[in-house]
Amino acid sequence: MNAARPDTYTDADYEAVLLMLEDRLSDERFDELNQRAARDSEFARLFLLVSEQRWALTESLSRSSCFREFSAATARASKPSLTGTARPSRMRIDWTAVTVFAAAIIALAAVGVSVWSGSGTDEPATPIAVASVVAMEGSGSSATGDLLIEGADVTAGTLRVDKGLVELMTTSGVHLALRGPGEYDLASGMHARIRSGSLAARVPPRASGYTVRARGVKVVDLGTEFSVGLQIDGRVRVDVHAGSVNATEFDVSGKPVNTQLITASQARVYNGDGSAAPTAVAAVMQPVFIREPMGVGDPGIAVGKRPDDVIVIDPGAIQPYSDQDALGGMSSKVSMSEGGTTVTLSGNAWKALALDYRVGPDTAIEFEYRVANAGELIGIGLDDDNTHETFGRLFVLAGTDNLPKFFDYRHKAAPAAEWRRVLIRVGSKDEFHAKHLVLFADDDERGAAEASFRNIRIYDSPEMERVVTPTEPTDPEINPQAQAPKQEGAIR
Amino acid sequence: MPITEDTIVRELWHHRARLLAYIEVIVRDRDLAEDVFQEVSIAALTKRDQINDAEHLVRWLGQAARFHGLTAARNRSNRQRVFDDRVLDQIEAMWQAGQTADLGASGDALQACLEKLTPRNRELIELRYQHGLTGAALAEAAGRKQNTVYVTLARLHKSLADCVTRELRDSEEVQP
Repeated sequence: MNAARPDTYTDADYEAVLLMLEDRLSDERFDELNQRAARDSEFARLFLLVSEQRWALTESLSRSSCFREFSAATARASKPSLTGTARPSRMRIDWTAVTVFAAAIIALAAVGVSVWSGSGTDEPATPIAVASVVAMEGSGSSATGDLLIEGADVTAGTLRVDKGLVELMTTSGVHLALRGPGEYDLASGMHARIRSGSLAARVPPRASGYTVRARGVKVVDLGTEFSVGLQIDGRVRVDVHAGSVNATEFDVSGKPVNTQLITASQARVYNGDGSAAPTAVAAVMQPVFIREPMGVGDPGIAVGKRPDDVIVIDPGAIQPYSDQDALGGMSSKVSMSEGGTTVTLSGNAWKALALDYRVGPDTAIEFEYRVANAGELIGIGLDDDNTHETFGRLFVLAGTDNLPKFFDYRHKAAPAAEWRRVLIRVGSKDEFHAKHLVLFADDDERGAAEASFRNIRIYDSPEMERVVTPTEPTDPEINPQAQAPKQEGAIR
Repeated sequence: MPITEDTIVRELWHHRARLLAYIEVIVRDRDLAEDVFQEVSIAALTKRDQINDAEHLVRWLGQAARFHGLTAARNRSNRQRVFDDRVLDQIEAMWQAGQTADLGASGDALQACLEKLTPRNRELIELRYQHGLTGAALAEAAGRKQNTVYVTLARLHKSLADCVTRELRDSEEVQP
């Protein structure tokens, strides 16, 4: 092999080549480089040498990082609990590290086996996996037409999400949440293109540079969590939840026209064809990811009796609900206090917490609430399909809007500037599997609603039927012997 | 008899870093280089009837990467400078001959050389090539002035290349 001789090049040569590869040279300097390379083939060789070294560095650093994280995850998973009397915690494996490491092992093994066997057959090659499904709350299919299931590999190509959310971990360690209905091109572990729908991405440091495209907009991660969505009107919305991204919009000829750094809590809406400057809008504060749901045994959730403790809300588990959160470009803010037992919503906020609870006739939500500004709707509910359109799942406590699909509690639970305690029997005669605790402070027009909820409990008790009716808020402490008559036509 | 699909996949995997580097020299954008790599990979699989064997594939990849790379660079911007055909001919020939492969991408030697860097220099390399930071963000994260970051990076590339050369020479000397 006619090897290159790096020691013949100067520091200035390396700098010129590096700046050329980074596209940081002026046209004049690029022309000088071009002319020199035409005269001196050794210098042209340096282009390849430095670029190969750059890619080798990226792969080498990524591999060593994956191995460190996989080792750490394994050690954490096998470490015995020091809190023997506590409720057994669900084991949390670092799926990022596991997926990336496993993908690397599978890919290397596939190549290794192929080389070892000296395969000369003409059988189709196994498609290369670019991600795997880590959580689902919906349905969809992969590029090969296979239905998506948790744990399944996703190969390069177009992935279709029919409804709900599908979460993937790419081979580069990027956590994606794809919302349905939508179609997404997954070219590699570092690239996605939105044909329709919206996605959220949580990008670990080693996968910085992860790129999402939608129409004529390219969003490059700079170490962050962000969402990109193709709206019904064809415009592209970019929200940054943490860190920052570099977003570039291209015109119809492919020329970049708008390049912006978008940082945490900022959002932009692009026409997608460079025909106008992007519009700044209020950011959605939390990305959409499926969290491990709260369930019986967690604080504030019980069956058969009222729990002594109350729900402690993990701020990172709060998700936008349905398609209502921050609707109309309004702000959507959520804040926690009292150790996670109190949550305040403001703006035009619809939030959900993942829940796993079988709702029956005697299921109740008990909570306290306080309204600073009622806006259009203040309310709460248990939901099974992540949409506000389903009849009878949500309860309105205050506000000016009238929506027949919601239980109206306003005449029972008048707007309260002070804390007010309420017990609502949410169960109906048809049992359902609640997947979300929903809280909302809706104000599409002004984004000025504000309400707080605290000391929330969800429980199921045979005593409930004697105490309250579905439309009768009752304070169990003020009137524990309440025997409110069931209302005519009340839904059970 | 045309090349098999599994041979194409194996060769693409084997040449991945080198092919990305070759494309990057043409397009001067790492994201775009990865896109072009995907296009070339798919084209190789769909046009395998035109490719005879692994040796032919390497020549075919060199030509396809050049074609797709130039197309992508021009689509990105009509004003972007590209290298003359003379220069591209040289680079394509060098790539096909694998003339920089050992020095550019020898994994074990490169890893050994990385471990010899000072923590501060290692951090700069990680910020650029693991975390993908560039420009002002890179300078800020590294705690250095922007105009010194690329000078330092260039020197690190040179010292790594020199180090890899020594590592490879030493390993050849201890071979029986």
